[in-house]
Order: sequence, then C-alpha cells, then structure tokens
Amino acid sequence: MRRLIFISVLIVLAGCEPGDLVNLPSEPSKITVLASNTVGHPWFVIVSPTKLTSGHQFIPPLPDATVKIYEDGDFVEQLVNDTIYPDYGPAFFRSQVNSPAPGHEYMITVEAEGYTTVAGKYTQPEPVPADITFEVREKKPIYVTSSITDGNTTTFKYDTANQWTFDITITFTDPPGDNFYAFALGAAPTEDSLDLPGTSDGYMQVEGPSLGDPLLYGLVIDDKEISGKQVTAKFTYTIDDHISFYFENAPLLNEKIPSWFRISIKSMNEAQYKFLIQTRKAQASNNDPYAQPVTTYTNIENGLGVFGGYTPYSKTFHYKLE
Amino acid sequence: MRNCLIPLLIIFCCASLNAQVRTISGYVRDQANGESLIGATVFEKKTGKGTITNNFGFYSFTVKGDSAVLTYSFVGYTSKTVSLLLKSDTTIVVLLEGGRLLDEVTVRGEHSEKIHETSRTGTVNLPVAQIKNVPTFAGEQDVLKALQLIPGVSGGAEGSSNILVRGGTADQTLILMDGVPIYNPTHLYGLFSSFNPDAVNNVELVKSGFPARYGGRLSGIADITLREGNSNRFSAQASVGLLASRLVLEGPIIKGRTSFLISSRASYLTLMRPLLEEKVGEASLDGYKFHDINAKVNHRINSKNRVYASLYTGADKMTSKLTYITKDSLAPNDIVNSTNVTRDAMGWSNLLTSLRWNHEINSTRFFNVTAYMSDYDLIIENQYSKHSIHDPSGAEEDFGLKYKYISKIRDLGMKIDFDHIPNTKHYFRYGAAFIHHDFSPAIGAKHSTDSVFTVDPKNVRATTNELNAYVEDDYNVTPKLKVNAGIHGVMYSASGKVYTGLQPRLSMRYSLPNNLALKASYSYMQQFLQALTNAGLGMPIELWVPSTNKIKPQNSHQFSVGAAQTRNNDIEISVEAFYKTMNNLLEYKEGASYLDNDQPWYDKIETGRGKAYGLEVFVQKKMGRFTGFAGYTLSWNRRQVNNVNNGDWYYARYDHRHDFKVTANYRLNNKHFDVSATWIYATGTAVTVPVSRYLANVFISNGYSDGVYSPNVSVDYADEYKSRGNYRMQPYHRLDFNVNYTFTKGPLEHKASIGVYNAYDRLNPFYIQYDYNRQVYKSVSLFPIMPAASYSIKF
Repeated sequence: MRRLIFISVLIVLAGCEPGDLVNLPSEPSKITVLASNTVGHPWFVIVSPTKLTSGHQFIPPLPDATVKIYEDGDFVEQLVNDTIYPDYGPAFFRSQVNSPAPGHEYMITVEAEGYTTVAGKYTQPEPVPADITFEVREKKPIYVTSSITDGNTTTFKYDTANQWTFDITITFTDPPGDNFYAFALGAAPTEDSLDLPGTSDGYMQVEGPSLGDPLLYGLVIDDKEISGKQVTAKFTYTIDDHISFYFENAPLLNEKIPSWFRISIKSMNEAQYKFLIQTRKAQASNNDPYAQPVTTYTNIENGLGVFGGYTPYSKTFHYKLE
Repeated sequence: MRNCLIPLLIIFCCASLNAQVRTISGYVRDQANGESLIGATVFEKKTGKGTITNNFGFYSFTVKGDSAVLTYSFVGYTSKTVSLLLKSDTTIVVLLEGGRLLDEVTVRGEHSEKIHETSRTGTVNLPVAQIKNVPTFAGEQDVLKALQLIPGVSGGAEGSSNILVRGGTADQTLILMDGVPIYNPTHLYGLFSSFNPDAVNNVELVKSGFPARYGGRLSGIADITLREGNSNRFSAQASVGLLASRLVLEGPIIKGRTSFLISSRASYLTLMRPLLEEKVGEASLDGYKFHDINAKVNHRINSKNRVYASLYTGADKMTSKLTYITKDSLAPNDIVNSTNVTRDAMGWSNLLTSLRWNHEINSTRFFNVTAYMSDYDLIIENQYSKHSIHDPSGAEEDFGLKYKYISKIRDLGMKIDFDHIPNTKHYFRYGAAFIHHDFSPAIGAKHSTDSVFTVDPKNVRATTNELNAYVEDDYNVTPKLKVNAGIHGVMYSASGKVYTGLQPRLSMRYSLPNNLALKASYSYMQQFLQALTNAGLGMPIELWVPSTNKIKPQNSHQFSVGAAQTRNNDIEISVEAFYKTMNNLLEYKEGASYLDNDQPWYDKIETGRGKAYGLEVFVQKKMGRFTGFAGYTLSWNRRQVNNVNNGDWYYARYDHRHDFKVTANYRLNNKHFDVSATWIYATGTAVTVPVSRYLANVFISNGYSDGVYSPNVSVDYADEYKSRGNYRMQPYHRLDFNVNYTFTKGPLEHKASIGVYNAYDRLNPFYIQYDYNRQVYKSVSLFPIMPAASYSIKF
C-alpha cells in the first residue's frame, strides 16, 4: 500500500507535463520608433522592426528607413542615419542642426520598404522654472572589494575610497493643466561632458514620500496630487570617489571622478509619460509569474514606440570630491 | 408493498366539527440515525398545498378543518402518509426510512418539492449520495468539485476547488459550513475541499434569485450543512484513499437526546519525504501535510429547545530547507566562511467554532440563534540564518533574518433567524446578524539579529463591522403564482466610513399545465470584503481585504428568467437566462505583482466593472438505478477597468463561451456494483499573451575606446501585449469514471472504488510557458491519466 501511495503522489507531483505547442497570435512585423527628444539637443530617433514572440531572435536595425520631422505642419528635415554600431546596434537617425522647441507641435513619419508607414505627433512642453539646491550631507570612508573565484580558491582585491552623500531640493510651482515631470541628475568630470549622451542618469533617490509611481522611483511623476501647487521635491545622491576599472585605460585618469553635477526638472508630454510608465512596469514585472501583464502603450500610429519630448530646466553645480 | 404508502392514524378524541384553523408542526428526521432531513416536503392531499422543512428539519403546516392527510417525502427515502383528526394544534416528529435512493420502485410517484414548484430560480440541491458517486481526483470524494459540475459554475483553473458562479470570482461565492462562513476551504493547493463528504448532510447552491436571508456576496451561496451525529446508536466509518484517509465516529451520548459526530481526515504526504528530497536535489522538501477535524455535539433540552456546539479545524503546511556555503571578505586579512541555511514554509488554516440554539416558540414560529468565530490564516515564512567563521582570526558570528507574509481574517458573528409560517399562503423568514471582521492583510514582518521585530506600517490591521437585517416571505399568491419577496438591509463601517444598503430580492413562479412553470427573479447584492488572489493552482494565496473609505463595496444586479419542468415525476429540467452587472470589482494594476510587498495592497489595485450574461440548461435525475445530471451553459463574462487594457472591455480569464458537463451513475442488477462517469467540456480560458517583441529602450552610457569617447549601447526588448484575454487556450475536456463495489459482511458495510481520472489522457492546458531551449511557446498540462481508488468500511 505504501508503495502505491508513493507512486500515486509522484504521479501528482510529476503531473505538470508539457502539452501541445502553442501558436500564439502574431502580427506582421511593424516599425518601432523610439524618439524621446530634448530641447537643446538635435533630433535623435531610433528605428527598429518588431519580431515574433517565439524565439529570442536579435532585433536588427532598420538603417534604410526614411525618417522625417515636421514642425507645426511644415516639413523640417529628413534625419540622417548615424548608427554607431551598424552590425548589431539599433539604427540611429539624427539631425545635426534642428532640435525641438517648446510650444510647437511636431510630427514624425517613418517609412521603410516592406513595412507600413508609421507616424506620431506631440507638442513640446514648456519648461517649468525651479529653485534647485545641491549640498553635501556627509563623507565616509569605505572599502571596495572585488573577488575572483578559480575553482575553490577565491582571491579578493581591495580598494579604499570615500562615499559622498548629497541633499538635493527642487522647488517649483505646477502650472495649470495636466503636467508630467522627470527629475534627473547628470554627473561628469567636466562641464562639457555633461552634454554627452549617457551622462544624465545619476542615481538620485527620493527623500521622504514619493510624489510619483514607486515603479519609477519617484523620479517620474504626474501632477494629479500636486496640481497648481508649489512643491518641493527632495532627493539624495550618493557617489564614491573610487575609480572604476571601466576607466582604467581612459585618458586623463585624474578627471574621471565627477566634479560637475547638473540637476534638472524636465517637463514632458503625456505620451512620453505613459510610455515610460508602461515600459517600466513591463520591465519590472518581466520575470515575475505572479505579475499582471502590461498593455503596451504607444502614440505611434500603425507601429510601436513613442514620439515625445522633454523640456528641461536645469542648474549646474561644481563640487570636487576630495 | 414497498411502493405503498405507510399510513399512520392518529385519532384525537373530541374532534371539533367546526372548520377551524389548525397547525401541525414538528420535525422530519432520518429513522435510522435521527438526522434532520433538510428540505423534506410536507404535502396535504386535499388542498394540494405543502411546505418544506428548514435547515433543522422543522416544519409547520396550517390546515382548515378537523382532519388532514399529510404526506412526508424526501428524496431517497420512503414517503409516509399520516391521517389526522385535529382537535388542536399538533406536533408530530416524523421518521422516514432512508437508504433507498437507488430503488426506483420504492420512490417512484411520491411527492417531494420539484423544481417546477419552488418559486426560487438558480438553486440546486445535490443529494449527498449523488455527490459520493461522482468520480473524483485520486478517489477523494469532494463536495465542491461536485458543485462545479452544475451549469453556470466553474472551478477556474484545473484542480481548483473554487466555486465561480456566473462570471463571478471565487471570493464572490459565500461558502457556509453550518451557516458559518469559511474562507479558502481547500487542501493541497486547492486540489481537495475541506468538506469531509462523510460528515455532510445537505448541499445547496444558489446562483440567482437569492432569498433575502442571504447576503454578503455577489455571485453565489454554497450552503453546506453537516450531519448532527447518529442519535440512535454508535457507528463508525473509515475510508482509505490514495492521498488521505478519513474517519467518522458518531453516536448517542444520551440516547434520543444528545449525540455527537467527529470526523477527521489526514494526508500521507509526509511519507513522501525521502523521494521528494531526491527529486528536488540540493533543496529538501521536508514534507507536506494536511488535516481537518469536524466535531459536533447536539443536545435536545426538551421538545422545543435544542443546542448545538461545533468545531472545525483544518490546516495545510509545506516546508523546505536549503543549505549552502559561501566565502566572502569585506576587508584585507579577513576571509569570512559562512554556512547559510534557508528554510521556507507555507501554510494555511481554518478554525471555526459555533454555538447554536433552536427554539420552537409555538407551532408556527421557530428561531435559531448562532454565535460563531471563523478564522483563516495564511502564513508564508522565509527564514535565513548564517553562521560565519572569520579567517584567520577564528572569530565566529551569527546572523538571522526572518520574513513573514501573513494574511489573516477573523470573523466574530452573531445572528438570529426566525421562521414564521402563519398559514399555507405565507412562509416568513426574518432575522438579523452582526459580523465583526478583523483583517491582517499582507503584513511583511522582518526580524533579524541586528534589529527588533518590525511590522510594515503600510499594511496595518483593519477591523470592520457589518450589521445585516432581512425579511422575506414565500407567498402563495394564487395556486399558480408563488412569489419569494424580501429585502436585505446592511450597514457596514470601516475606516470611519459607513456604507448602507437596501437590497431588494424577488423571485416568482407561475405554474402551467404538465408540471411546467415559468420563473423570474431579480437580486441586488453587496459585498464588503474581497480576496486578491492569483488565478492559478500554484499558490493558494488569498489576501482578504475589506472595503474601506477608498475602496467602495462591490455590488451587483442580476436578472434571470426561465422555465422549469418535471417529467415523469423524476426528471427535472430547467432553462434559465441571466444578466448580471457588477460594480467596484477589484483588479490588480498592470504590472503589479502579487507577492511584491513593497507596496500596500490598496496601492496595487484598480476598481472596475463587470458584466456576465448567458443561458443555462440543467437536467437532473435523482431517483432510480440511473441517476445523474447534465448541464450546458452559453455565457459571456467581461470586465472593464480604467487603467487596465487601456480602459477597454476585455474577457475575464474564466470566460467560457460553451460549458457542458454530464455525470451519471448506474447501478447494475446485482446491486453490488455501480458505475459512474463524468465528462466535462469547456471553451478554453482567455489568457493574455504577447503578439510581438519590440525594442523598448536603448541605454547609452559613457565609455572610452583607445582614449576616444565611445558610448556603450545596450538595449531592452519587451513583449507587446495588445489587449487582455487576447488568446484562447485549447478547450478543456476530460472523462472520469469510477466503479464501486458495495457488500456487507457481518455488521460491516464495505465499499471499494477504483476509477480513472482523465481517462483518455487529454493534455488540458493549464498555463502557457515559453520554452527557452526550443524557442517555442507550449501549454503545460497538470494531470495526465491518473488512477483513483478508495476503500471504506462502515458499521
């Protein structure tokens, strides 16, 4: 009897068996446009096709696409292909001269052979002036440890460094209407390099209650809770002066520790906000079997992605970490 | 002469010749064990009027004149006819002889309340004997699984014991055990329900036309009454199944006055430990165990008073352990070698206690007072401990971390229910109830050796109060028209907010020739608590949460119309169409994770509305050698939530367009063997699947190559989800069958059952999974063809 029970329970536990292959509903490949542009920066658009869900195929660039920008209904220019890594990276299209300006309505069209032409529209929001402060709170010594394991032997390497914590406040008054904001910090060794792509993603943390969706760490908010009010958003920023191995071969080694900091409050259009929220939710729940599916948001007609913009109000600070 | 009526003549001297109104009241009980027969019919031949017994077997019947001929009937029992000469109001306790459910000859032609006679719509009674004949998973007979075979009812995911009624969710069905609400009454991740079938007396499911006495849920009421225990003699029943064993002990404590019943069930799964350890490798599953115990005592104080004390406790627990070694260092000359142990445990339990007092005020009035507690706990516990030895210093240190995920609900309630039957035209019911709910939803508690025990302040305990009152009348307006009308009032308070509601209920029946009746009903229902739950079988996590000042109570309006007919006094057929709207339904926000404890529950939900409508056909045969029931449902079930699916309507997960179920039992000629079979078909579940994959984000970060600024580019892909419920899984269908062999040897009655679950090995889709190796999507099935067996002895 005991044996019978064992076998039966094993059957139950092993019961989850693969069933039939499933052909999920799929759609013809369409164009994805990622175009989140910033006032003061030339137009920059990333174009790619969608792929079937089955298989983890690499999504190739779409370098032969034609990307056109219109301002208030008038054609502005056709962006040129400026892909950094044409063999495997996404297709970048840039303007060398034009950039979005607040208050204007923009339209984008993207054509590519074999794909339905896609289009999108948005109005570049106005900047929101703010009073911004950036002050050091504390500095403390730390060890930075790295390790290499070879078989059963683990070798540790140690560096000493200092960890710095800054307090940041951004005080602004929410203008009339529906508004959407992103708070950002850029850190760079020189003031000029603050404008390089990739410099605007310092890890600010919200201090106190978040004004926005926790999924976006309170760095992206709408104005539902603060409509028309004067608000002070508080953040902290932590950085250490340890020189990362990524920079060991870089020139001007002594300048790799950031000493220039740019704090921004960026107003953005609604589509940009919704796209950020939905993609962030999707990413946060990507591998969680208990998470609810996230409906994809897009303002690209016949395609996917977003056409939107940021209008920053920024203040730059210089602080040498020593 | 078995099919003949058994007359009893009770003659009272000095019979009055005046046509006075007399009341005959009393109880209808099982002759063998004294159990109350619920829903037994009392029928007067001359007037053609009748009544039925309540949940305690009590009846009251008023006649004009000095004589009456009453017939007492109950399905599966031999009817009794009593001729009475009446001098005054009379009390009669009638004992019916049972055990003849399958004996076609005996019961044919006798009167019991048929589906075309009752004014109620959407109400189904399943005889316990029929439930015990339904083929089941692993041979474990199951009340809730049998209810899932009724049209308009679904279990949701395969294997689940949920009762989803007419597009509702599992928490919208109130499950009552002896009138006491029970939460998540399941074992083994929902594979079995907590109801031991050997201890069940009566099972009723209400899907529409809710009488005013019921409240608190939008979609369904499963009212399960347990047996009281044999008041005549001691008896025992033991059953052995593949996964669990059951034992029932019952008998008189004071013969004819006090009886008890104890039923118990326990699993064998802990015996599997060695095999499970091998199966899961480094982590060891310490075991899985479940049990339930029902204990009930009732005492008849005198002919008008009776008291009951009940206890139910049931629990499931799974534990596992993982040990691993790590090596670390935070400073030079300090290597830390650590032994890490993680222990995981998950369990849920129910504890119900109740005290009841029946009192017969007079021959037309009866009341029952119930005081109860219902407690449901779910605990998921993760414990981590680390013992570290520093090299070369040799210093030792210990670190521990404990994480608990707790969801609790405790109800303390008191209710009083009156039955008043002034004459054969009216059957009044009225009463009141007070419930104090105590919720502890999703408390994440952390405790480490470095800190004190902390409770996340976002998930504080909540207490709410609910006061209900109702009045209803089952009114025979004319011989053809019968109406059940009532109103249920409720006052609910939570977080300083008070909600009130008056819920009108109406159902009616109009009789036509040939045992045919037309029926219609309307119900307005409100619900003040809800369970946030995952839909799958994997984790039976139910987070019971209250309506608050921000979360409004759910409500529903349901209309139904239909026709019912009894053919050959045996086969009941009903056709019913329904339309139900639901408001303030809770839905998780897009991307919200069920186990994510960083946010309080109320920040993870949205509220929306729902709509369910359809048509049900039900055929039931309760008597004879061939018994069973079959049902077909054509229905639509949709939801709309503002921030889900871009605010558009979508099909709910368990929107099954077509649903067909049939279960049948046939007893062979030799009376020892009977065979049962069940076949189920349902349209595939609506699930949300991606339609494409796209480039969702590009990260550009600073980098240098050979001294030149050269940004690094990395990308994120995402799946495109176009809409909720955009894909239908393959249809679900399954055949189960069972063969029972019953025989008597000496004083013992034996029953051996063998059967097959999923007889033609259908790989029914349970969920859809991406296979990374083969780069394909595939459906995962839960149960292949499986054996079922059980053996029971009774004396």
